[in-house]
Amino acid sequence: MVSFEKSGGVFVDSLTLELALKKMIERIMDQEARRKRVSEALARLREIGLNAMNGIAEKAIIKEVEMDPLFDVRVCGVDGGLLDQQLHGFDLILVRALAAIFHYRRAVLCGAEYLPSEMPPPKLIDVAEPLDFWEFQVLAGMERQLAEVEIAAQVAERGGVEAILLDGSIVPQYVERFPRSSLLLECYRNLIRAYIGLYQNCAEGGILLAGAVKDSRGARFVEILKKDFFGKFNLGKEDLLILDKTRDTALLNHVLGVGERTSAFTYAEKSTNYVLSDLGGWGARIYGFYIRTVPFDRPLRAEFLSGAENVAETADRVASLIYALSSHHEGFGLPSVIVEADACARLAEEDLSLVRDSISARLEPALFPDLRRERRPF
Amino acid sequence: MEIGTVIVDEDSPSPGSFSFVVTCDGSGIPVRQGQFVKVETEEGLVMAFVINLVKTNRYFMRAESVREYERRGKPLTSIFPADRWEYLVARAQVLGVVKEQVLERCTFPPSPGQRVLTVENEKLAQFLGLRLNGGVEIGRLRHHDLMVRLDLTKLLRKHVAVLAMSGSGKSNFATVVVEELLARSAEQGRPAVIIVDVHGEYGGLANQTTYSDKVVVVNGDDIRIGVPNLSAYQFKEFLPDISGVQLRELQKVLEELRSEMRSGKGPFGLEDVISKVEVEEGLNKQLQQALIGWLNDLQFLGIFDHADNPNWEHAVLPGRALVLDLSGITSLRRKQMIVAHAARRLFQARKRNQVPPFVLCLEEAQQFCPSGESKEAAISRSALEMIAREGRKFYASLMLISQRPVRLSTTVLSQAGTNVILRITNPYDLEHIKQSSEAITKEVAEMISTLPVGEALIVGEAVNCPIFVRVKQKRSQFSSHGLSMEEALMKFEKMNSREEEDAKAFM
Repeated sequence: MVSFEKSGGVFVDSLTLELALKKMIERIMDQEARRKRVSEALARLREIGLNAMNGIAEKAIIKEVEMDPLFDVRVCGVDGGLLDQQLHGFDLILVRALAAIFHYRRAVLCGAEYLPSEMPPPKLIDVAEPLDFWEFQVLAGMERQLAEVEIAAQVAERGGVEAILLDGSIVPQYVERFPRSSLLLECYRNLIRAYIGLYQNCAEGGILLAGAVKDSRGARFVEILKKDFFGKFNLGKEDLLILDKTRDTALLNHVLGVGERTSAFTYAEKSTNYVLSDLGGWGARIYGFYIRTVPFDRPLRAEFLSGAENVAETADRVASLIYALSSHHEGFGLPSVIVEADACARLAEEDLSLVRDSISARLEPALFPDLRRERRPF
Repeated sequence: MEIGTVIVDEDSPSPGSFSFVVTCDGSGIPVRQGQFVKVETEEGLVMAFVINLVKTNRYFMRAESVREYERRGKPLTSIFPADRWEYLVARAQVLGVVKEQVLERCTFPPSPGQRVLTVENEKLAQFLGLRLNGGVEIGRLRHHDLMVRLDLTKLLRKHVAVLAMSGSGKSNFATVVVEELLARSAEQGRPAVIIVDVHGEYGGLANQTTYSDKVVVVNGDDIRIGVPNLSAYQFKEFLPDISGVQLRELQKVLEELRSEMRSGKGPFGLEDVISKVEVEEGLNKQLQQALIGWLNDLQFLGIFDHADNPNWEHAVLPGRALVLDLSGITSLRRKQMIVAHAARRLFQARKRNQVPPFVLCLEEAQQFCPSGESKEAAISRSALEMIAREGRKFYASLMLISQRPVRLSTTVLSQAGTNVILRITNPYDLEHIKQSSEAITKEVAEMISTLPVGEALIVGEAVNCPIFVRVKQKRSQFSSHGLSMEEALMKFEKMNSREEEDAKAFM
């Protein structure tokens, strides 16, 4: 007799499940209603000018974006692919990064170029240091970022593009400094060096550097508003409390219309922020904003590098390009160059299997590196 | 030239098939459905036939995304470099391994990653069993710059069936073969050709300077069956309902008349047979009347005489074509009798070596050897089936041309070693053809219904594997059937007005 009873699970029976679902839906709806009230208040400020506010770099909190006509522009998108596998005695990481450079003329794509190529072979990294699961995941992520930033730096050095758009943040977002692993620490240092190199190359070459964060979990914008802004409105305490549980995109989804962006804001309250601290002077030059490029997708978080004197101008230019490149699909507002780079860089599970199988084929059966969970007899 | 690389898909590569991604760049079409390719394996050089081509592109795989991106009227290619991600994947059916000039069944698959190459003409001709020189040149191999020259023996010795719907190029194909046979020199050996022309399409051969001295056209109304050459059994063939007793009496009469002829009285006609039956003593009155009735029935057809016309032994000559133009005869029974008699006489003469090896071309073959019809409605079937069964041993070949293969005698069709199939769309005919040859796979059968006019699929003895051929144009004049509707209408109007003018002038 086989029993399917799930002990210790969440779902004891269908009635409990139903109740749990009902509660969850009620909570979501309540939160959304409160967010909406807050965002309606926020929307009233659309045309009101602001005085200097800590963290906000422009005078209007919501701005209209002028779509770039893509008359004659070359834009680069950079993305990477990653696969990793833990094995017995060592771990494997497979990364691939590439840059897709699109040349638009009169709003029509007239050429595409890829660096190093349109489908470069992935780089194999074997990790012999005994890292725990979390450390291994962090290392894999850093290796992917490193590959992406290095390729972006090459594009910037070569020049010939107006903007480089990274898939994701333009900042290495690591809080820890890895005191227990020399391997992680070394990789982190390499990553910081690569980022700084990229910033330098872009600044020297007059190239816009921006990142489009697909699914941002950031709350920096809400934080700024909470501190300096919402107190001025007659919002109930209950409504304001919702902001503690709200990410930027969830709130701005109710605020921003298509072709609108928020004011640019500094990446962190202070450039001495732990994430930015290793970037030297560059940390103070990282800004962000949210932009809605299409009606049926959430706002997109954009980050960019700018001098303090021309933040608004740079934000306008970055927003203008991102808007033009992301407005083709009403339900998916990501720049076309990043869509392409993402599709090219993506790795298939088979790529990793090939490597693993090649290793297995050259080892004695007793040295097979697969974990037991990968060698189940049934 | 390298054109692709073997890839892995659901069930291939296997010994029977493989897929390959087309890798060669450049303009034009790198590979086509129906093209032959080769790939090296552990077993040797594997020849394969491209049965399908599929284009794929990741940008166009999701309908909703394509629709969304193109909603504003701009093509996806103006936003993304979509055309760069188009791949062409070909599915190839393995035909065999070439080993020391022999084609063997492939028993081991090619490896993924193996290079797929185009096939050189010489190698392809050798593989397909085609002649590089000589033979019967019928056209160009589709998608290859290779003239298809079929081996004469392989093509004709075991008979050939030309099957296609009306207007697909059957007669052109048959004429091309006839022209090729007539063009042979005495040194090469020349077969005789007899054409049963039910639509008057082959008369043009005689008008062509090249063939005028090699072609004789006999009008159907002039064709006669020599009664002295008929046995009682042949009468039975013409009169299937004649009873055994009547037949015995008829045989007696015929023997008497033959005996008289040998004693110097000269050949006899059907009227002599009737007279003899009438005066025959001791015959049961009823039987006598019935027999006379049957013979009168034959006499009424007006095709029986004292001797054959044409004289088959004299008219059927090496390197010559004899066209029996039956287009003026409307009675199917009469046409069948002529064909039955001609077939028997020719085969007998061939057996006795009185005529050269011959090819009997039968237009609308289903009229002469129909499937499932009663003996009465299929007078010539038995004679043709006899040639189909035994002709190979005596170098008497049939070229059966039909637009309704499903109505063609299966005995005859199954004896045809080579099938030449042009465009056919009738599902019953297609099914019938598929069942008649194991070389016709599902994919090949699908191609038959989409063949353009003048393109033929050749399967069977003449080729080592099915091939698609663009049949060359016959050299002789077009028949009246080649006229457009407009041309035919104008021709008729012109003829009519001339008649009217003649009548007026006469008045």
